Amino acid sequence: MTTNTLHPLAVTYMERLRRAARGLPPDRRRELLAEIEGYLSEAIDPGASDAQVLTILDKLGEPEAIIAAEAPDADELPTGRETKEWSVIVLLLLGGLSSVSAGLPGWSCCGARLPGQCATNGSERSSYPAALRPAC
Amino acid sequence: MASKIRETAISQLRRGALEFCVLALLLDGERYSYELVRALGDADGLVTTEGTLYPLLGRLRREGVVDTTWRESSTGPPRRYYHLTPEGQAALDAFVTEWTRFRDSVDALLSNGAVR
Repeated sequence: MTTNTLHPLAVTYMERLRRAARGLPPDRRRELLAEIEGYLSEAIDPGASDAQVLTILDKLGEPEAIIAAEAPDADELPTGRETKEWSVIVLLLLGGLSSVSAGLPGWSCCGARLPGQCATNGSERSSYPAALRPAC
Repeated sequence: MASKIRETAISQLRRGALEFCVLALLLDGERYSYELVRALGDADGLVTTEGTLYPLLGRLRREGVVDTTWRESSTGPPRRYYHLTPEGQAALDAFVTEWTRFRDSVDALLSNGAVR
């Protein structure tokens, strides 16, 4: 991917970043590593001294701090991540339960409802298995 | 204790404003991530750990306020170019309105207060 050779200190940094990023989803990990490696290729002049490279790496920050910033913030809107998790749970359970769901009251509404939305009708909610009840 | 509270408040202010600074940088056209990181990193008092801008950029993409295009570069690895989406433009406009009110009010109170 890169045609330039990174300064050795930057190579070490990228190794630390790769290790710290092990817990990330693979696509995001690839993306992040590519972007930061691209940044270092641009930021570091070919003849840069060790001190100059260290300054750049200092400003970039500790790999662990960057990976920590990848985690969803507490103040981030919950709809994105939670909706995806609910979707997975619902799909798995619907797949397993579809054979026994015929004739269960309210079931057809359950499949069409978006995860995370509260049922406004109390009697509909009570027919949901507990695991499928949206968290309101 | 007082200094710890102050530090948190400033960190929160930075965090809140930073994403709109990214959006504002894209008003004139697309920029690639290195340009964005350098512009924000060079701005006094805005970013302490430049690498955390990459997670921020990822979040802005997921939120749909920016979109990206990878382009080949003759001078090195491919570059990821960022541009504003209509949603991003709308979010920035809304923030500018609120920020201007907030900033003007805080400035007025701070200049009238005992802090010199």
